[in-house]
Amino acid sequence: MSLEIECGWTLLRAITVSLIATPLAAVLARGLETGSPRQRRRRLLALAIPFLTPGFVVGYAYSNITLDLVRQPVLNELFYDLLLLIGIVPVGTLVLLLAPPAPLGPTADWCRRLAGPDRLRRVAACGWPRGFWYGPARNRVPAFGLMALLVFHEFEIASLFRVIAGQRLTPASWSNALFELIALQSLGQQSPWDLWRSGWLPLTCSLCLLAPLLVLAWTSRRNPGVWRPTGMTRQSHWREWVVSSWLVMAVAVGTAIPLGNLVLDGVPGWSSAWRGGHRLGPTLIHAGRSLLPTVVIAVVAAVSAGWLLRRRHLGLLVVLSLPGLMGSLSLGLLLTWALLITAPGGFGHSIVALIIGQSLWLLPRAALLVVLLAVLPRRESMHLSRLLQHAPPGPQRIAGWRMVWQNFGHRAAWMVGLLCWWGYLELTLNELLAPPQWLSVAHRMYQQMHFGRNAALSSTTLVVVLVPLVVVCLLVALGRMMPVPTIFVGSRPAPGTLSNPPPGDA
Amino acid sequence: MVDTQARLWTVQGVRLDGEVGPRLEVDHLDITTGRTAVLGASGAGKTSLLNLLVGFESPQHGRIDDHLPAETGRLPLFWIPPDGGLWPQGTVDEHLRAVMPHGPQSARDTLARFGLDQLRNACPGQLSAGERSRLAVARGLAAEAGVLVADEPLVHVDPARLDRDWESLVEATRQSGTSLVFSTHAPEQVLRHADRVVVLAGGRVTAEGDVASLYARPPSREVAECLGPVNWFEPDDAIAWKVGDRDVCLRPEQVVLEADSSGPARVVDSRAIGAIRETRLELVDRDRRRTILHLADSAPPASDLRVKITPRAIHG
Repeated sequence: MSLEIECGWTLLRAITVSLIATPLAAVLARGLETGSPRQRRRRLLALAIPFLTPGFVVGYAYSNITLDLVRQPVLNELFYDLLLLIGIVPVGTLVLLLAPPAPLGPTADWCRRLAGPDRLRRVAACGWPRGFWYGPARNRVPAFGLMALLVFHEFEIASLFRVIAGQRLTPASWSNALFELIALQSLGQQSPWDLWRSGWLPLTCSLCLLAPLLVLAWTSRRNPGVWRPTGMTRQSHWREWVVSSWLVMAVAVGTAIPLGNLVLDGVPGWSSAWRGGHRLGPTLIHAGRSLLPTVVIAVVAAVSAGWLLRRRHLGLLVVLSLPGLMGSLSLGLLLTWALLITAPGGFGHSIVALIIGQSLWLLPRAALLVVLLAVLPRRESMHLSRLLQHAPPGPQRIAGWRMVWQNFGHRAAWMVGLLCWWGYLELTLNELLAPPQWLSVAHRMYQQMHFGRNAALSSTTLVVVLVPLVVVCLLVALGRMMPVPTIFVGSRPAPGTLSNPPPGDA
Repeated sequence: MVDTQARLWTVQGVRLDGEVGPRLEVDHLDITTGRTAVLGASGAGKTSLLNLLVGFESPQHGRIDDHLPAETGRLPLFWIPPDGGLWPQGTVDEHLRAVMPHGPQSARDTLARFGLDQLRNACPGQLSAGERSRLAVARGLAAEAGVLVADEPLVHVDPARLDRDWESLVEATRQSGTSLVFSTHAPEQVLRHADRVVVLAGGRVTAEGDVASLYARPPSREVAECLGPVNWFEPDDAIAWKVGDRDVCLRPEQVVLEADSSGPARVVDSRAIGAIRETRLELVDRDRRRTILHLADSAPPASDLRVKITPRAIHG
């Protein structure tokens, strides 16, 4: 298949899957607005888990199923589409949850219904099409666009699922086709014209899918939306059922089964790996080395997103986020061309190029996390903590530092952790920009996964996935186990002080 | 004329759940034709009740039977939501023309009544909060529905024109024979405009009935306070201040402070707040003080003056 045809199929898939995902995300978003805060947190976590599960792990875990389906390309495509659906629905749901309320609020919509269509039809401005555009479409179209963009750029699972069925490779994937055409064959020897000839079509498709999101960003600046009544989300049993069923299914198919598969496959291989010492040791060292640049990259992306949002440079944020939203392959090729071909020798395949590329790739995610985790505290509360920090040494000053940590620190830490996770598991920019000694361990695993499944590879992959999780668990445990420093004692009531107040306080 | 006897809604065993408990729990409630006010503090359940009546929300338990007039050609029900529920894409004029019953016609009179005639081509985003409130009411009236449910209408309107706009709203519903169900925090609007009142507290109906009766004889202190300034005496207080021997409710216009050298209290201080005077009294034989609200229609009582509280009946 030509690149154009692969691109067409990928676009068709992106639109179809996103058309299914959009109403589903709307139902989930409404479902996440109801229930107790604890229930909502649990649901949000369940929603996010499949999105955080690395695509190559999912693809690798299910690659045997794909081989079974080699004679049924339609089933293979449908299964791939289901995995994509599970992966993108969380993104659409978060967009719908975080986007400013549409100008046409639910009460205005109910007034339209009470007035009835016959009357409204007489005044075009109040009729259905404009009502739809100012109401539900305002946030759902951008959510659709972003989800379609993610599907359009997905290649990790597609690459591991791709089998020859008849005359063509399935599932179709422009990323894989382009990568095979350019990146693997004669990278660095392409003229700008060759790169443009190959890349203009996916780039144009990406821009079209991205357009609604830019429209949302632009219109929400000019029209902040209406007051959204709180606590008025109608509870409905069927929605509860859909939300619960979907979350259970998504966590099971998108995370539990692939990881369970990896554990079942990989754990028996660990003993031999330990005994041999030739696989586990270097893998751990390699994983550690891979984590180092991603920490720098995550901090750069987080600080940039936070600074741009705090300073309200939203236009600049959108412009800088565009390359990342266009997908890692587009971004990688752009930087390859810019750095490898035009920049002075040696700058292309360097750690600096990797940091620039991955930071740009992570920037839109960092911006989303800043908003989602409310990383930027309210200016008033930060100012209050600053005032407390100016107090004489003692409980007030400590309370000021504690406020900084509670309002900002621990959220920022989780944000950097998530960005590290994505950076650590990123493949394409690693392939295109990293110098050989800095190629990530995830990339090495992914390369080997194309040759099929085996116990040794499963065990190594499990280690690769577990390393950052273990590091996070250790850091969290360390934080909790740390004894309360003596400087904090003054700010906490010592045992018994509440029951035995000092004289005069009674 | 609106028949004040016919039922519009019957609410039976309704419960509407919220995030931290039920937002509304009503065993039985009839809403009748005429003008009904729904009164209560913030979070009492006023909006929840009105949302149920207009069908914007559905109860988890119980049922709401509507007996809305099904006259041919007349919209049975329209709503003025708490946020106005305006259509961002429509101009002021289009808001009214879109809901008028007899085709697109000039809405000039209604717009002029609410001071919106100079803003006919403005969209809601270009209006102030007060103008949006007035537009929501004007649109509600333009629909000429059988029943108009208004959730805190005119809430952002400046005090200078608030009474005039309320008059316009009520007069228009009277002329068109529209029943009005409205919620408000303002007891004076209830006393002025409503035939019946439903008082809510903590999501439950604490009182309902004729406004004048409930004003004069509220069943509890909470209900009394909802309907305006009040001097409420618990039984032991009533005995101590010599106004009765059980719960006593005295509105400011029912209180006369009479100079009496053998009276139970002496005046601490007194100040007028508009038409009402707040006078702090202290019991002579006990260390107990309270503030008495009464009309500021006479000279302030002198400090240390011995007084007694004399109740008088409410007229009309």
